[in-house]
Amino acid sequence: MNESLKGLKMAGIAAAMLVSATASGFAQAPAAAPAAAPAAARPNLSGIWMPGAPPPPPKSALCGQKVDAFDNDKQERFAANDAKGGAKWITFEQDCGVQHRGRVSKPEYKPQYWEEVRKADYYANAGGEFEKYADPQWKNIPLGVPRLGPPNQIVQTGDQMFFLHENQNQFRSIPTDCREHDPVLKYDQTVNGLSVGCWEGDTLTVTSMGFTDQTWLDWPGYFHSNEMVVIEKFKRNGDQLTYDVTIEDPVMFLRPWKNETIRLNVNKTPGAQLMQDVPYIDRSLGKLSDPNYRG
Amino acid sequence: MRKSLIGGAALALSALLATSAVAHHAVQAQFDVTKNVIFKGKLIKVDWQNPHAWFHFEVTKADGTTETWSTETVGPNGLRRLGLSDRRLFQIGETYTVDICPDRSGAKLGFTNAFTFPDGKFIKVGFPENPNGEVPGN
Repeated sequence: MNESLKGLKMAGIAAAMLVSATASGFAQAPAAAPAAAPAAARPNLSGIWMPGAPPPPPKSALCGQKVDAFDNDKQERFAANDAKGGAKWITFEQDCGVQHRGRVSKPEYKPQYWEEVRKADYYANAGGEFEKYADPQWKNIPLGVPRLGPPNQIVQTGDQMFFLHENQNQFRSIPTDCREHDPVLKYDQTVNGLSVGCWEGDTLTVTSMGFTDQTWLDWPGYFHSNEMVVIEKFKRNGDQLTYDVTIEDPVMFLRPWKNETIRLNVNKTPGAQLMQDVPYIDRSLGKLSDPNYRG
Repeated sequence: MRKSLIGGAALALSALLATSAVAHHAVQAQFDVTKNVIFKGKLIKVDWQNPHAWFHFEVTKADGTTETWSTETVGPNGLRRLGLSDRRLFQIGETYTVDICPDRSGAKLGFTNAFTFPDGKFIKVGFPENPNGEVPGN
């Protein structure tokens, strides 16, 4: 077991180094690929990015006699079987869970890991005697890359990018000079990993390694090993940014897992500003009457 | 339910949730969404925290004794979009009427549907028994 695990780890390290070499290879072998663009000629990704349209600015609730978060007239879809009041939530949340599970793109674990994935999915919200299977987010561990998703704001300056995330006030500092990962720090163990970037034409590729194995990739029990390598690609088309993530885990995955493309729009609202997040303190683990009521 | 009440557009919201990788359980995993409980209580503490903000009330029973009820709401980002994160709004020590879906275990916990302020201001963040803010006997 130990020997085979060691073998797997070595394979993982070798694969990780290969990825690193591939990512940085563009700068070293211009004959095989377009040369990295000079900083001044690169697309500028700076801005606040969001999946939908920017929300209207909040109105002060100090004025007026009523604040209504729900317009009941638009809730008919959720009133299945004459559900009234809070029972309307049933359709809403279950639908979202089914939609999420219905995604075509899923990680392909090696056979020996599926039983544990299944248990992690089933007991994710249970706590108590099943706490070892709990979703790490319930234990107030940060989401980590790549579950954190794309940044809410990007600051680009020369050979450096800063990714700012409203969620739990996370930041990522990413040199984009096509350097190799630090030979020691790439074995560090953090939720967001160690990231380096390289421009290939108008696409920014960010490769991250040095992860803890405490985080998950998604809520249906998708754990990963600390040999994970995350490759993110950013491409700007006008006011839209496409975000593609591929997750390699040579220990646990049969093949790399490419997530569905996420499309973001730049927030052009004058004066738009990223807000700070409040602490994440969850209290529901172990206290749910029916933890398998997933949504 | 995080970020769910931004703008109050439930459809847009369900799209957000459907693509969200954050941990999640349905409201009814903990709360009985078929029941509404309305109580009057003195606000003693507010926890502005993720994934959901909590409000704590001291409720005086008919026999004069008091008990603490704690009510969960939507995420603080959603409350912020509604203008509810303004610290001048909810005042500790004031008495509020609160409509909740009660905890299924019988614990003195609930998921908030609406707050009625001492001056009659009505804030609806869920599905209260009286959606327009009429509170019987108030």
